[in-house]
Amino acid sequence: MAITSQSRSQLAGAAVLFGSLCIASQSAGAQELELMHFWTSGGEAAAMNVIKEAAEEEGIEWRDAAVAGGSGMNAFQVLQSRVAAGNPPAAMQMHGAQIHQYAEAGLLIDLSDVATSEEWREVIDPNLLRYAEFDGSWVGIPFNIHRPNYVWANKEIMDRYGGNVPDNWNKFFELGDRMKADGIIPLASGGQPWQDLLLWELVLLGDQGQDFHRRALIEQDVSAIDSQEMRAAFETFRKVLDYTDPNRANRDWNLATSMVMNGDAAMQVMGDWALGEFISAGLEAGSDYICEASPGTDGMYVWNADFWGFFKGLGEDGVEGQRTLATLTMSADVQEQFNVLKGSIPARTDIEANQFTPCGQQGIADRAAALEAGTMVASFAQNSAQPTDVRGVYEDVVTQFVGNPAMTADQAVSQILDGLRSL
Amino acid sequence: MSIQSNLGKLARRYTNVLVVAPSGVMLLLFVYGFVFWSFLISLTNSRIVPVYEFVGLQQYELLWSNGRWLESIFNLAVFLFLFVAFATFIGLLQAILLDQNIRSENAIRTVFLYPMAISFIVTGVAWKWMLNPGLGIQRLVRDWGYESFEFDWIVDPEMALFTLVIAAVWQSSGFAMALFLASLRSIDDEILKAAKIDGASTFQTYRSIVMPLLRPALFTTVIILVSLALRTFDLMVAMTGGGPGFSSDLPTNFFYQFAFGRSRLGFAAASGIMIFVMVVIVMAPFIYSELRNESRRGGR
Amino acid sequence: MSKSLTKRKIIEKLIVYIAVVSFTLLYLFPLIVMLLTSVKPLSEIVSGNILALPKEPTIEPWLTAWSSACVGVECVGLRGFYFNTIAIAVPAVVISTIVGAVNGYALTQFAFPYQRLVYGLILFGAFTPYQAILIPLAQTLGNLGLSGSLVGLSLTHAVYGIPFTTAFARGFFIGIPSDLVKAARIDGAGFWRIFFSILLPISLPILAVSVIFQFTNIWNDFLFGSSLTFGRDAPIMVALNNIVNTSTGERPYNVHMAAALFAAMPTLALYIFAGKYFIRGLTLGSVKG
Repeated sequence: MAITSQSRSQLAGAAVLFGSLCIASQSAGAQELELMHFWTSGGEAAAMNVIKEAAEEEGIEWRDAAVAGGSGMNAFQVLQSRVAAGNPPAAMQMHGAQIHQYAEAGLLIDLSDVATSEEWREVIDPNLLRYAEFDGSWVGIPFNIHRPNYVWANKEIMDRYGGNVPDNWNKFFELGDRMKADGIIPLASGGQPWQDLLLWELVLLGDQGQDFHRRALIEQDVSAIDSQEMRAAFETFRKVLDYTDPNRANRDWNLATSMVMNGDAAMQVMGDWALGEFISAGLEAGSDYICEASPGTDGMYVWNADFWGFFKGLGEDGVEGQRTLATLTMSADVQEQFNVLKGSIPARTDIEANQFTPCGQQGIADRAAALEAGTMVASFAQNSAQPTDVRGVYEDVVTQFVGNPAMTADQAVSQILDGLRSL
Repeated sequence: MSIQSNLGKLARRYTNVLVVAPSGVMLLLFVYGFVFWSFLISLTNSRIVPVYEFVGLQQYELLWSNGRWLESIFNLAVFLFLFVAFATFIGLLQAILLDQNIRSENAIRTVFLYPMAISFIVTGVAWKWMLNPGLGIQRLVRDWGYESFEFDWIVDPEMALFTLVIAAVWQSSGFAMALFLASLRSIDDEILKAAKIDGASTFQTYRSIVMPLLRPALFTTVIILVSLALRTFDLMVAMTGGGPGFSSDLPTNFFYQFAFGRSRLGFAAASGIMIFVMVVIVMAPFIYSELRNESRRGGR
Repeated sequence: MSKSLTKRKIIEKLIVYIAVVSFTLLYLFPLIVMLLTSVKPLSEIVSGNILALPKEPTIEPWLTAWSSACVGVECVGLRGFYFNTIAIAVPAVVISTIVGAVNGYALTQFAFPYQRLVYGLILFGAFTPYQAILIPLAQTLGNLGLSGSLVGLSLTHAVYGIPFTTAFARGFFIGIPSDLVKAARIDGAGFWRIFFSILLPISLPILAVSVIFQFTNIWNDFLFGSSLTFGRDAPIMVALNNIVNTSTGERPYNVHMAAALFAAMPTLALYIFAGKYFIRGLTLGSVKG
């Protein structure tokens, strides 16, 4: 049996070698935390760096486990196989619906005592409580509030057409026709399922209003889904797609943003994370680009938020590190600096707006107004309204609708109903 | 073995079984055991972590009424057929060309073989870029003066699947070439000489004498290409992401999306098991008949 | 030889060469494009076409790809991931090749109960859709304490490589005349003696095939690497995928192409320098059903 024992000893040797490497890297630094996220574009990474530096000042050794691609799906693949293996990271960046799901599975630690001692409840945007808390436990630590309903426009192009960003979709079509006649792409967009779903949601909201949005997407009211309004929303969406370029398939959102920056396209409907790209490129709001609410959603503040979910399973030191990181993520300084770079606004409502770009300042003012007026709208596409499986039903239908020009609004509606029934 | 088998012979007989046993056990666990485990998960309504509360075959019923799943199955069938057919045909053609005593055979063989060295991720990155209508081949040909040239398959729902076929064939045909060339090289020259003397043309020689001798190589090639095709995932993710729409979506991506993006692990497991069942349906008879033929041809 | 025959031969040769040259150009095209792109500044990439020669060649993209391309908040390039991948691939290749060779020998040269069934079950492992085993695999590695480790990934590759290496070796050994082994057995040589002194020396070509095939598969793996390792322990294809999916504004195609070429280099070199052993090994075995 010479050969097997030989290969076995090789394996054992290799195991010892790798094992010792692993141990060496694990024992370095008492509060080493492994942090997973999918913020890899320039603005996103710059923002995350704020937290990293703050954490390092607190003696936390930050092991970055960024996983790019698949609009976060690659990262969730890794997360899920790690959870299955009983080896989760210290924390993972996720949206509200996912915080809810992981908390429901009993995987997240409870930070209620930190929340109480830091008095988070007094300062947090009240909309976020729905996801920050689960079953009486504080499980999600918000980084920010994002606003998906923005139009980003190239100032120079817009000036040639009167300077105004259209405030409803009909005006958008009129303006778009003129741009198309001049060979300008009116709308930069990327044909990836999540981007299409977001655009569709914003078209629906702008076209049919907040009340309909709530009934059709948040409450899954069958009479709202199977309605003329829903069909009209699909038809408007179909028309909006005519104003995009044919090469949109599988284009990343930030490449579409750079089309607006470079003047290859006039506008992009995209969340305020696009602001981070404009900032990284050194462009100025008002002189290089314009930010406005997407057509028909003026006064509405569509929102989604990113959270840290802190996982169970670390030793005492690790938990201490997790609590430290949670505290500093919610601290006023970090919230301010992080959000200035990320393009979003703080999850705390007590932060001065003056450090922010004009777009960010407007966003902070708009949120205050929307909180007052009751026009905060939880983003369905951005996982802030429904669990991922419900959202997935709509996403599949919208993706199919985009991919198949022959598909009618009627078919789309009946597919949504079928899909919801099969959950 | 006769009754007179002595102990030594028995021990030797044990040796070879014992030697294979560890691999057998590992594969029983890592392949069949894990598949069974996944099957158990597919019988549950697990969300993000496996929860073993069984709900019967409900997930399978949902799966086969899911339009996206059916579309991905159809795409896989088209992709698999075209990919295997083209890669086999081109590989065979290249092998025959290389077998014609051409100059610089080594270098050319390497050229045909090198894409195999390149991962699907790299292949995807390169081809996605070359097929991008604004930057890639379309623009190149237009720059050469053919202004109306169009090659926008990657953004065309009708054609996107074929771009995956192109890239995959480019990547994998070298393997088919290598297997066929190896087989051609092991054919006894005397047979070919005899055919030449009889006045057979090159074409006739290949059709009636060489091709039948390539059958085992064809078997190996098809098996390997089919196994590659069924697993195609990285390439699709890197090139088209399954789009436009779901026009180039594949079952492997379906699994991926539902397991990791939609938190429907039980449902995703059902799709994983169906992929496995498809593999069994396609491969098992093939492997079975080939091993039978082998024993008829005198293998042990 | 008659005149018409010669003429036919010339035409045949001409067709052969035209076909060979076209195939060669077609197959080289992507590599040439990648190489050209990787040495152009970004402005030239956007303004020129994919075959345009660089006006101001630069190796900057290569340096960036190697040591400073960013993923998330870390800008370390591909450099560190080379070692990981070698540490994963080498043990896995060695183990699966040796185990496969012994399996192939044990299955063919000695009477083996249910030989075809056992081989069929092993071979079928080569077609496992990895999606069907991913979650149980992760959980098992976790239970073994190997989650997220290079050892775990290496072991995984070794196990799933065995069906391939066994198939290669079996195809080779089944073609070895049984008289050779019979004679040795009459002389009293045992299982391992025969293997080491008679069969192993002549099976080097098929071992080369196993090694090349396995190394390429493992080096190029994405799915296992992305599910079973994390952060800095990731293998190179995962790192590459992270790099090409990380960008701000204009996509640095030149860096992406340089990174892709870096990632492909070891396997490319293997095929360029050892490709002939691959064909030779296949010629001697594996395809003789």
